[in-house]
Amino acid sequence: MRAVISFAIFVALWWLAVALLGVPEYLVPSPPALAAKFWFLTTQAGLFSHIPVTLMEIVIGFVIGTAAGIAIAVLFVRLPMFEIVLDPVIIFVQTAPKIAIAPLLLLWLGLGASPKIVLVAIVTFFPVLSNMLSALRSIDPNMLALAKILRLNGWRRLWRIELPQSLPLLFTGMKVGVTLAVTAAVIGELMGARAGLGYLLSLGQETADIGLVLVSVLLLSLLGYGLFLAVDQAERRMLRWHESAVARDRLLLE
Amino acid sequence: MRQIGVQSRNLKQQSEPSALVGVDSLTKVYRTREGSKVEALSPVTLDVHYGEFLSLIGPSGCGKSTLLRLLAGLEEPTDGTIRWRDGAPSRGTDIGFVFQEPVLLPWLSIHDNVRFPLDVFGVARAEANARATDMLALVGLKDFGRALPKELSGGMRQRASIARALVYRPRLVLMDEPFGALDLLTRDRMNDELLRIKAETSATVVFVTHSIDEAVYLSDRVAVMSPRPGRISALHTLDLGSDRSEMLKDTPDFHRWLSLLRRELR
Repeated sequence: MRAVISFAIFVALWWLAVALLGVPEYLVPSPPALAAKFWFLTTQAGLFSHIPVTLMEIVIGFVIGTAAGIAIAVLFVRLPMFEIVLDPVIIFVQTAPKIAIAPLLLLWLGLGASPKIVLVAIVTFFPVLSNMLSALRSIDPNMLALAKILRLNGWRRLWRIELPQSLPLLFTGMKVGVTLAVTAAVIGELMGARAGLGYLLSLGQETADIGLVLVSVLLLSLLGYGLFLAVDQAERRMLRWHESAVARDRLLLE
Repeated sequence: MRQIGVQSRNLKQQSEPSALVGVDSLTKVYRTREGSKVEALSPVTLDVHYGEFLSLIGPSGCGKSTLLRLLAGLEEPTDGTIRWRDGAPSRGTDIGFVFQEPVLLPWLSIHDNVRFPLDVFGVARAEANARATDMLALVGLKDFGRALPKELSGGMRQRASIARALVYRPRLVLMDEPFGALDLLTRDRMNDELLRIKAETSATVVFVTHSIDEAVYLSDRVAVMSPRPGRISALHTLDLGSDRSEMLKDTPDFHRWLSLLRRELR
């Protein structure tokens, strides 16, 4: 409800500013002009066929990056040898600017979805890995002692104790990852693509079509927001047992 | 000389057939980061009898927790042996451990926490549920099975953790200052609960505490330990009978033991 009100106020102010200041339509279109543009793009230009392209890149890349982050974290904790060998490589890839990696991926993998998926996976991977690592390393020693008393070892200990205990930090990593994922997909698409919201964005820029650019930006923001809410909702469901759930309830009440 | 030593040791074992676990010249030496050695446990020899309640009491640093962790197999002794009468523990079901904190799994309900060891041991679902339910009733948490650990008080959580340690009927229950974090009133109540649970399950308990009251009230025997290096300085069999209740705390016998132990710990 509050979101609707603040959105309405925002639109009203925007409309007022455009009308009073006489901003030309090709720089900032008025709300009805933008709505008309949106309607045109949807009905005539197949706008909605571009949304699933970007969404799929983000979702597939995010899932791969998250899974890889969890797996590598478990590997590092179990076999420290791997960490000694792989850690510098991972940090090197991570510190390299993603915008610089994108052209490389495009050259290697072409203009399709795969370079974007790889880029999304790379940016998701790191926050998941580092949060998962600190989660696995900060498990209560008493809990590990309990596992030892019960002779709960290896994969069973991982599944029954370490993974559930790591969920709160894992979700923190995933939330950071999902916001980065949207940016990564757009960067990939801006560099070269045949479809997707990032492609529309660069098309709008090249043809100086401000309406197209604004619509793309708005849809991308909505997409990112929706994905964040999805992760947040999953966290809420899975972490009802965690202390953060109490703090969250309190926040909602206030 | 060595031969004689072994023989006399064997003789001693035969003379105490009631020993569930025999601890023989157990030592534990830790190395600090600077490389110096700390003797946490200098040779300790002790038998744990079937069905008894044995307390280890002493100031911090006397090695009582170390001895408990060695018995649990959580740490390896530097030297010496732990001999189990019916063979060394091979499965997790042999030892129950209660920590100072409840150490419940926060994502499982109280009932599922108590059932957890049974799940780990592969007990059939229906039987595991029935046993967890029985055990919850025994510790007075019948109506709280569905609650999450964070929803219960400290005392209730600790009861759940005791239920979890007893649910698979371990041969030996080890308790490491289980009530140390509770307030005095709760602690008194928990002591009575523990005596009742102990009577109903006839478990063998080794109990670490730094409270003299608690040790005298609960125990059949008390091992007094002293620090630097950690060792057993006295071992007492308390003649307070098996019927323990609040009334016992007003008897001269109870106070005699209190002052005796207090003197020994000074």
